[in-house]
Amino acid sequence: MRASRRAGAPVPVRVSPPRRGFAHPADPADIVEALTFFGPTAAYGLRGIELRQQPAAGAGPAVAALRVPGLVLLFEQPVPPWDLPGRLTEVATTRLLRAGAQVATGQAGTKVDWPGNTLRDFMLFDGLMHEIGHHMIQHAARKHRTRAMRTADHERRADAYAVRARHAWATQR
Amino acid sequence: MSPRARLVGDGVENPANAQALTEAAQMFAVPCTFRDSRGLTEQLPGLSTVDTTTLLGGPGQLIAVDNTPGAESVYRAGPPHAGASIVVGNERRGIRPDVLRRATKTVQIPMPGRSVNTLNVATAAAVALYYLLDANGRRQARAPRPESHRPAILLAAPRDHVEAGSSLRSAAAFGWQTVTVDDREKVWFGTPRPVRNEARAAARSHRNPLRVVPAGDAWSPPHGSRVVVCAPDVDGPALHRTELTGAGTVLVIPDGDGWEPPSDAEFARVAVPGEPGRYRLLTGIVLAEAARQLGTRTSTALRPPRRGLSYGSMLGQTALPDTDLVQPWELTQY
Repeated sequence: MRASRRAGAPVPVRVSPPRRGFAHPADPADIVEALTFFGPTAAYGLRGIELRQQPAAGAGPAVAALRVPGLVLLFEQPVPPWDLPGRLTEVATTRLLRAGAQVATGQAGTKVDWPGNTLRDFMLFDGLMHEIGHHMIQHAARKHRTRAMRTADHERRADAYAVRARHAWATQR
Repeated sequence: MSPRARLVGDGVENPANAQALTEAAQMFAVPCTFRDSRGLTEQLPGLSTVDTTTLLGGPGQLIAVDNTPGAESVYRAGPPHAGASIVVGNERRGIRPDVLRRATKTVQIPMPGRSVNTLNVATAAAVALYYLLDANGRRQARAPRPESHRPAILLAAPRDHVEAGSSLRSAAAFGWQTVTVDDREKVWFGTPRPVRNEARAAARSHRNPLRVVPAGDAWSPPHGSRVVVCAPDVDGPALHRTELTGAGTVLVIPDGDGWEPPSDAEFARVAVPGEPGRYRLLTGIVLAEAARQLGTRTSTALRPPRRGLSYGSMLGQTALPDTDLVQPWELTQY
């Protein structure tokens, strides 16, 4: 009874307004559309999705986070094009290129441009669906306080889930 | 000459709250206007209204009072520019997203209450106006062990049951667990059922764990206690410059002049430039100031926040030069 209620209930999407010069590339309507497309298997056990401002400190621009159990945070992003100080790691560059971004690394920093809807899709798949991938692993293992597997494996599976979701979105929608 | 600020009610739907908001604005001698989408003007025809374009496209600062994540504490917010619009939202839904997006800053009133964590919209407006416009030169907040310094509260002779209920809601929201009520006007205890229901609804009794104690016919302060009477028309230092906390302190908030204070009582003046407002606005300001002076619990503040398991996704960077990322709009403002 409880499970069926939770599976059918809409996932609340809360919005914290972005700061000046930033935006939430995927708005609540986009998120609801994606969750409707992927259905209860993706939304099951999710307690909420919050569009938040960037956290204060970090080793790079934050994209998204999952607070176990079931709270997904999607962070605001600078309005494109991005001028990032320093260089992106190879993994980050690969992620961006895979999402359709144009990355140019120079002496002064890295310039990232997002043509069309690529930034919105990056947030939906490399942000939202990636974190839902983490959530599904934890949820399936029924673990709220401990990691269901080592972090590298967790990340790899979540990434694979996001890639499958992007493919399904592109082919079946 | 533009007023120093104006109060805007965004989507307020209860006419009684609209009138209370107007009184809150009159307390601080600022105009009050409403963005009406709920048919408020049909019930209160004389109400001043503002349309969305004027509100969002106006030249002044827009300050949203809402407890959204990341909002700044109203106690630490600086004074607004002249002509700023201070916006409070709908009773249940809060401020609409278009205002939050356009707002120069969003401020929230910190509320340590556990079960009740919202104020009546007019009370919230009065508290926000007090700290944004008038409470200059405040006392330092106490940091360590605030609970041991929390004063007792006596609501003295409230004259209206809804005002009394709303004040009890504010007390719970600001972290009090017990409040004494001198109910000589018979508005809280032993009232007829309709009055009782309205009063309890205003106090959010269904989730308000506050213990309300009757003061009895001949209330006298406990031996050795310090009584501070907080009212708008008394001789004494301004409320925010008076010590309101400390073990053995009793804060008395009288409604009108009918309550006789003890001979050794101290007085704190709720200094507002306009007319004294209704009781819930007065109690809201006094309780907020006492809660501000109490401060937050240091032990919790020093401890890192309890955080469960989390996964984060960020774009890793290999070399971060010793530079700051500057946005184009920051350069244009430089």
